[in-house]
Amino acid sequence: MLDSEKFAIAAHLHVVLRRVNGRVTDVEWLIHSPEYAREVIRVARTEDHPELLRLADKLESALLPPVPTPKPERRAAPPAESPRATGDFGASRFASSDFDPVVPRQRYVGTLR
Amino acid sequence: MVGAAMLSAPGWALAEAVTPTAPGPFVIQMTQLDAGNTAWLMVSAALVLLMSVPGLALFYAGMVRKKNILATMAQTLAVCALVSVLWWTVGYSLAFMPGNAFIGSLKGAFLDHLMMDIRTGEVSVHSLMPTVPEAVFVMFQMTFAIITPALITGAFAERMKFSALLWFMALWSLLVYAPVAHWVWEPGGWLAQMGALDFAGGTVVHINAGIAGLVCAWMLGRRIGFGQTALMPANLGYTMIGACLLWVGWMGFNGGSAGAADGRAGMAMLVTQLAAAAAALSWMLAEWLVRGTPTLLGLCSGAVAGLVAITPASGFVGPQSAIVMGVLAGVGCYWGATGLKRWLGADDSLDVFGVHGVGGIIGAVLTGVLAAPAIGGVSGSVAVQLAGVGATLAYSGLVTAAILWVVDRVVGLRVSAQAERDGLDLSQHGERVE
Repeated sequence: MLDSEKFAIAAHLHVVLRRVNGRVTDVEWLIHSPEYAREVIRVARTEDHPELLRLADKLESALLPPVPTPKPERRAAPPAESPRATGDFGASRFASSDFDPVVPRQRYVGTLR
Repeated sequence: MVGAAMLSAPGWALAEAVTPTAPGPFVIQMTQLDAGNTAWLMVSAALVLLMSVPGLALFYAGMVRKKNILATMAQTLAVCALVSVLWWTVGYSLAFMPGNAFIGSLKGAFLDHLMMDIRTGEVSVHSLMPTVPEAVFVMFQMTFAIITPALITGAFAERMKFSALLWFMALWSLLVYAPVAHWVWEPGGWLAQMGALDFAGGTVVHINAGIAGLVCAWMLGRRIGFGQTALMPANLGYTMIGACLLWVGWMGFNGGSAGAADGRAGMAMLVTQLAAAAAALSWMLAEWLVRGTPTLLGLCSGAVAGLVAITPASGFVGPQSAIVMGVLAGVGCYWGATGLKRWLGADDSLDVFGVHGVGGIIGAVLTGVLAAPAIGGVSGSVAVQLAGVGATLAYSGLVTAAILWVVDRVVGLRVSAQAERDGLDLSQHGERVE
């Protein structure tokens, strides 16, 4: 994920947190310090506020990705066919499960179009 | 000789009513002017100016990063002002006054020869558009001279010094644009004499700007982070508005090049619209198939690619040919902005060569194939068209490189690394978008 996207989520959380319980966070430091990010996410989750919970989850997945653990080898199940209307070309290389439809990962790297 | 050249060169060469006795300006009575033609050319000049400011400025500004939006807009505006003044000094004279096969003369410097005397009822006209006042012809051509160098700014976006840009654009306008316009459009130009077809500037404007942009991208080097990090476009909404202004303005660009408000101008407008639409769709489909998403930027780029490709052909082809040209241009320019760009390796920031260079070449060659005598009065020759393409690529590429070399020695071409990181808005202009 791009820094600008992380920053956008953090800024959004900052605004909602301030509105809900008056807490003020340091958005820049949130991006750079995992410890600080964990604490802010913990505080956000103490509020019973759906928007805060959603943003906390989003920020956690953006800033604190889970450490991958080795899994027992197994054959992956073939992806289920999704119903698609005629003329829908969405089944190309970005249609895989790890593709973020909002901002393709390699988009704008070495090319504009 | 004049008659033969007028049949083979640009669209407006076919405008008639007043028969010129020699190429270049001459004086007629105002009563001999055609009010309809004059009105259409005045509107067309305004439409083409609208393509540069604000059309191209917005089109490009939306594709750069936020820290370079204002600088990109400033570049287009500065080029507009600079080239306007240069056109008055010697630009018009070098391009459109009779001279030799390669360059015009200085007889029209500072437009001293331009005549308009309401007391005697006399007005000067140019042999290429003999039914409109020469002042309107000068203005119409000026807008082409403005947009051509302005197009190049997209190739070196986000990294060129503003002072270097001014020097480069001034020299390029006089040493590259004016001669190439003379070759192709002035009846005595060597490409016009050969019968090269370029109705509204596929070679003079788009191939010329495209190859110059590519050379600029090579000589300035890549932007910091190019190929390593995502260089995000700031606001593709700006780009869409700019593309649409370009699209609308192109009606004057191509329609006005007929030099008259007549059937040929009408056909030029129709094929312009059809080619743009076909190219927008073909780029969209190509992108959808290859990348999986039909993007707004792709639709905008496809439309511009179609407009570029139909430019040289717009007074020579009919609707069916326009659709063919549009489809091929959409796919061809998509490849130009992606596969070819990767192969070339240059950081042509906003794909000036991929869209204008490739689109211009496709259009020039297909004009040789598809030109219909019933529409333009002439048949095309692929060999002659290729000669025009090759000569423009070679001359424009070499002289652009020479100009850049000189400017680099005098003021330096590129901003410092820190200035580039800060963005040109702040480092070059002391302004920023909040």
